[in-house]
Amino acid sequence: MKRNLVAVLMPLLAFGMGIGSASAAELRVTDSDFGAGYVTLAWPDLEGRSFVLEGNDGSGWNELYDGTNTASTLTGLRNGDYRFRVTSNTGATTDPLEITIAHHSLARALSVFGTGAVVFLILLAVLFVGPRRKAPAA
Amino acid sequence: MEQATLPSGIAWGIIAVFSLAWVLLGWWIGRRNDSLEDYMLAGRKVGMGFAVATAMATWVTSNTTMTAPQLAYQLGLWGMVGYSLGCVGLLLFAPLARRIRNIMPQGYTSGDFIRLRYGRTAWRIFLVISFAYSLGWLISLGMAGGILIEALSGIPYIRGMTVIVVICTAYTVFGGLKAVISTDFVQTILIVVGVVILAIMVIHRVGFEDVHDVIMRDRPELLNMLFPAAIMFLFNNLFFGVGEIFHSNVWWSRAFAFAPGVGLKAYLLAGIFWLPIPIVAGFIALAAPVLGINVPSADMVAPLVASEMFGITGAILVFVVVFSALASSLDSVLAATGDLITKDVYKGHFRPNASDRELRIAAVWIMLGLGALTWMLSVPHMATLGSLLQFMGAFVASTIWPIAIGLLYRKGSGVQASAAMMLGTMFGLVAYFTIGFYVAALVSAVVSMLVMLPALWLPDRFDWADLQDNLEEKTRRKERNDFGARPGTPRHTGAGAGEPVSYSAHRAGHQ
Repeated sequence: MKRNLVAVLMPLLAFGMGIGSASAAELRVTDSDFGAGYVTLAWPDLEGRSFVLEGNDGSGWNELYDGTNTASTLTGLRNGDYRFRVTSNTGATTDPLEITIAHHSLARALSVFGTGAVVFLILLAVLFVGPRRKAPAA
Repeated sequence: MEQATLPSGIAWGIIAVFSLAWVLLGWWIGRRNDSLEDYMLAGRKVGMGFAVATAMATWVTSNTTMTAPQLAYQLGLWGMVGYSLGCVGLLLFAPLARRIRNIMPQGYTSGDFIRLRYGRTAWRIFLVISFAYSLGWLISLGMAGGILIEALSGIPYIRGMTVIVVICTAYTVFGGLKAVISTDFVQTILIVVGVVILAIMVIHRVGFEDVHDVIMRDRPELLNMLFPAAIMFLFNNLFFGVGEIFHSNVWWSRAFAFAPGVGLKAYLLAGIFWLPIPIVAGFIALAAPVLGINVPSADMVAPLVASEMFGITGAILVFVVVFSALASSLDSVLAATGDLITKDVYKGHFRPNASDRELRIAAVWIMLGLGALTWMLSVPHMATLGSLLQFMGAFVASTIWPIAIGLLYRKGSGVQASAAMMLGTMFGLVAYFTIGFYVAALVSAVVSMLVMLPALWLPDRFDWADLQDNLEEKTRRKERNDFGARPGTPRHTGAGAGEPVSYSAHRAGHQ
């Protein structure tokens, strides 16, 4: 719920977040769907010209990105807990950010798929099995 | 933004050359528009070649070339396949296009049909949905233009977006639907050739094996055939596409504009030709992890990959392809939405007796206003392309059943159609915010179906002759102009006059 609300109301949220964190260099989530395994991380307030983004899935810290961008999108993540941090060329570092990826259950996914298939078949029946009439003369 | 590939001078040069070409073409073709019918419906004489090209070019939008990669980047292989299921809307609309042309040969908009078929309440709900969708689409196109230009050339988002919106508005205003369709033909060729070349370049530069190995290591779910969100996305996107096409005046205006007998084949062929394009575009996104390209926002993945991989030549190619896709869709949506507002809102609610000349002038101002509104709402870059687009799915999928049943059966009331659209939209939006974007359209379609489908077991209630009021209106207007007002002439003023007047009852009144 939160991810989609953020995506649609981003200007208001960005404004609020700007007021609330004017002096904090935090790593934040700007777009995500933890049920679909993706997250966009941003660090716009961190001082520096180049940044290193690291992630830890429990097996140790790994470098994910090294460059001048102030955001990065990670996709296709498996279920589990993840921690991220960013370090700039000035040595400044954000506090670690923790997220939990929890994909939708396969049962739910297959139920939705099955519902879609049934509704699609009904639509085909309505479109092609229904009565065909000649148009009245104009 | 890290290093741009396309020097800004070249980017501006390409924009200038193509923009001048589209505007001049639009002005030249627009000189031949003699009537409102010419302006809004290209004289109702569009042949097969142009028909296929315009249907395909309009459906190949910047969303195809940029959102399909985004969804591949987020949802993997099923994201690409799911996006390509958007072709089903074109295929299923093909027989409906023929039906529309047959039963409403003098029709102008999808709103005309809903008003005559279901009455004013359903009509107004439909107009709200249609306008919300059109505006969302226009904004996504404006945003895509800004994102593309910035990603490839470093030109600031707002500048690039502004130029795209201004140019497309200009040639659409000059030329009307004839210009839109003619430029679509050229843009289709550019898109198809460009995408094929890009696909070959991607496969040559980044092999399938490398893509597989890197993604399995770093983003394993993208290759998972049982990726839950992606599976849920498949039919959701199918119904989103069906809802878009079934309800949108972009497609109805073409059905009215195509010459008789062209619509069925044109839509079938367009659907078939369109199908592989999002898969090819989506594959480009999967090259990003292999090349170590950072993606700050998922909707930027395609231009970022292109600028990294192809150097200046490839960047120019991508630029031309996506610019053509943008232009071919932005002009279509502008024209069709302008038509809908002109006919159904301006004439339908405020100026029912407006002459064709007045409507043509109003259409110009309405399109300019739409262009301005699009620009204003594109400035803040409020969401990713994919999430904005799928938000609209909750709205449009609710119209599938009222449209399908309304066109093919004499069953179904205005109350049912209104409830189907409202409840479908409401539940679709709830699903969007509580579960995810990949179920909104499906939930909307299901709820709408549950409300509307029972109508098939009820008695017939609609007379197809009631769809003919446009012809009647023109006949009466001609008679008033030729002979002046006659005592006892029925006071039926066409659109906006209230519930549809039965054609057979009206004829009886004249006898």
